[in-house]
Amino acid sequence: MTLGNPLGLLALLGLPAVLAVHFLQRRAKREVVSTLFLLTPLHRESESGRRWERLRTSWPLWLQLLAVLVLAWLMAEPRWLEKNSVQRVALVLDGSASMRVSKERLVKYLREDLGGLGRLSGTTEYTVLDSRVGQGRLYHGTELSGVVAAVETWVPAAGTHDPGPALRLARSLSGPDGVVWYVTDHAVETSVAGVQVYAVGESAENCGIAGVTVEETAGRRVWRALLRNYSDRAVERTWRVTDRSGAASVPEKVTIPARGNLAVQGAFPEGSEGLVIAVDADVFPLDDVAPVLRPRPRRLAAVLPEGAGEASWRKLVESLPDFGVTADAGLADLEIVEAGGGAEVAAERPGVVFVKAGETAAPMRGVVLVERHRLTQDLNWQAVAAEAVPGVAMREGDEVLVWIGDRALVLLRGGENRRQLIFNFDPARSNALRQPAMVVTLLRFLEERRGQVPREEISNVDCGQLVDQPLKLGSGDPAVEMTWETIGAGGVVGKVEGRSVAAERAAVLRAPEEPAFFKVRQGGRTVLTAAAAFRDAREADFSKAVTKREVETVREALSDRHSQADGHWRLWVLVLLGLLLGSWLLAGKARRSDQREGGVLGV
Amino acid sequence: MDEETVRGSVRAGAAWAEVFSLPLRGRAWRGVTGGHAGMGTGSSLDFQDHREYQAGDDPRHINWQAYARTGQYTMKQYREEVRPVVDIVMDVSPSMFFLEEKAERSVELLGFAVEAARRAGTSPRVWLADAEGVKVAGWEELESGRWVGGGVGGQVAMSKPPLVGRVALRPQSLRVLISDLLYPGVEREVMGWLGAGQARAVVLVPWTESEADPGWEGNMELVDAEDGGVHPRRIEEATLVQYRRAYAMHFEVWKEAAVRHGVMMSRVAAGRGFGEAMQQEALRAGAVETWD
Repeated sequence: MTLGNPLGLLALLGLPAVLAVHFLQRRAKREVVSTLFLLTPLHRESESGRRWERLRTSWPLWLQLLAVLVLAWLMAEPRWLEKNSVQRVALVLDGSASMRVSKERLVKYLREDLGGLGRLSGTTEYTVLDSRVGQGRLYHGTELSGVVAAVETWVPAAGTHDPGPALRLARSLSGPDGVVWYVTDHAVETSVAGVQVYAVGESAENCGIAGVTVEETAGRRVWRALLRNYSDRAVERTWRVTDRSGAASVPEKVTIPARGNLAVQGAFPEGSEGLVIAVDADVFPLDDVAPVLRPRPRRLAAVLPEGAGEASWRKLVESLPDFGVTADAGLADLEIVEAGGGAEVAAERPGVVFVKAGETAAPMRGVVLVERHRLTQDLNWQAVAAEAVPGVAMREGDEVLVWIGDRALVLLRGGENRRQLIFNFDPARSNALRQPAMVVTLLRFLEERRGQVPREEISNVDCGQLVDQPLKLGSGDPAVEMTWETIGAGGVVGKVEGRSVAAERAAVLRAPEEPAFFKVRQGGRTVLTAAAAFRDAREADFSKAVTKREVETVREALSDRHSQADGHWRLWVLVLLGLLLGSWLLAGKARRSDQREGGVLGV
Repeated sequence: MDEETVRGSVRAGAAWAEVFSLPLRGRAWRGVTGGHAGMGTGSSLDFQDHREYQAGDDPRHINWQAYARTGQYTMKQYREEVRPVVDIVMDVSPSMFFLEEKAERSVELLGFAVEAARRAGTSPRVWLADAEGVKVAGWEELESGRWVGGGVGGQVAMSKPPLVGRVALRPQSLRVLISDLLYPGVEREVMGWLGAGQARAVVLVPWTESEADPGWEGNMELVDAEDGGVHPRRIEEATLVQYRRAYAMHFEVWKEAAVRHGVMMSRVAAGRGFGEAMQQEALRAGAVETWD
């Protein structure tokens, strides 16, 4: 049996109320006596009366107590459980890092609320999911203890993300009558119908490192960190820098204005490749430390075409970041090719191909059409003007990126590691090099190529970021190994941990979820050395965190669905009226009797 | 208690004087010539003694049989017959009248005492006494009923014993006190005053069951019948047990004082028939007698 309205049990407070009324309404009996002098020396207790009369049982009293019990029964709306009923409850846990702060509270609330819901049906099936894609199912079963255990071992670490896919999955798993809670720490709205937000956050002050950049200034590598105060009052924090060798800077106290930022910076010590910036610990530890490495991206080397145009090509190449020229074709990562009009271009090596025209031609005319491709996405090629000089002969398999009329203006040729970006016009007879569209397309192509070069890269990344590195992902390729050193409070570097991932699964390899230095190796070769820092300012802001547990509506719905109401409520109403009527009649009779006996007022 | 009820109770008590009498027999009295044996010689039929003839003696009382045997004049002496003097003292304290049944019994006792004294050929004098003072009341006043509840001084008396000591009792009189004796600490004075001078005295004590064994329970507001003061009390069963013991002890003390001073004391219960109440204790104690 369950109670549809547990608050109805408050009617039981009527029991002490009725007793109190009976105590208080029975007034002291007044009587004229001639022997008062015999009482005076007697028991001390008799010297003065007490306000509380000892309870004398009477029929009206018992009837009124019974009436209160019946009233409480009616108001509590008892319901009888259907033994074979099954309800499904799906919890989608917000995998955002901010949920770390609310985890203990979440466990406590779930024990309270799910325990109550579990009693509303014969069997309750729980499903616990993480809102992060690819995290799988945390728990599925009928035991609340299993849910609690899953939540206790769950580690939320992601930045802001879309919980929609997980919510839709939970919705479909729980069925149309199931309950789906999105467990988070803010009063958010979900776009998935039938999902209730179950917020367990609490507003808290937090101040941490919102981001770190490394720049080359005056020949020195300088790190710059942004300290952000998310609270509504100015706070004082002490920050320090610890070199990887363990040498620490002098702590420096700063005041960060309310909801403001403060930039601190310093140079990398001579010979230092990495350091840890730390501020005083608070409720959210992830942004209290930030590991930083002296970045060293993979530098691309290009072979230039020989001839009169080499100087201009060198100038172009050297103006691009981390891009240089090499004379050794064996060391080159790509080549710059000048193709004559109508010439065949072999797709043997990766490179960038430009047309070299001998004579002036009429401008190209026609509608500019940009294909959907990541190299040309959101770029405007409409302003590019070029002469219709003879271009590169098209091949089967070429992927055209930009058309002018029926002429392919920009195209891709060749497979992976041999891909060529072909600008099918003479840049010297065009304004293209002054147009952002062409420069950005070229840069995107170079970055794509940079990602294919199997050399070590040193960089600073976000916690949980995908490791997009030139790994071999075939089933026969060596496993990918990741090792990391987690950064603890105060910037203390922890011991080295590691794990191995099969090559075919390494495509989704991510940086550690917590601040750490880490390395990625494959086949004994280091691919990436990086520092992962938490830099999601949205997750670090707890000023609008709230608790919102609207369980009552769920409870009522489940109670209606899985139990039956008391079918005898009309009978109970009649019994209640009978009890009240009987009490009234008997009390009146007793009152008249008391008055005849000497003025005692009964109830 | 209204005046009509008082008159009815006086008459009802007086009617019982046909059955019961005051304890006037078996004792010599002083008074004017009457129907009861006096302390001296008189002209009654009751022979008392012989003595030698003296000049001036009534020759009708010469014992001629003795003169025939002895040759000397011997006089027969007969007991004097007198009308005893009866003083009736009525306690008119409020405690005597605050309960209907007790008030009726008290007034009945007064009516009985006066009528019984009359029937014995005496001239009773009735005194009304309370804490304010004493006064003599005539039969008409007694029958009028105005004296009930008004007190001697016309005011409600304070919770003090009636000032019976101010009553001018006549020597050798039969003293009848009608009082509930609900006063502590004056039993010796009252009984000593009644029995002074070898006088015969009777105390008739009206009482009720509700005084002896009250049904008090829980919180009570006890109003003193004497002064009207309100006294809140918490009454438990243990308190009642102690009260009953104190009540019984109170009258034991009075009885002991009565015995010590030769006073016949009898409690007369209210709430039951007058004859039954008188037979149960007053008759046994000798406080009243029957005519036969």
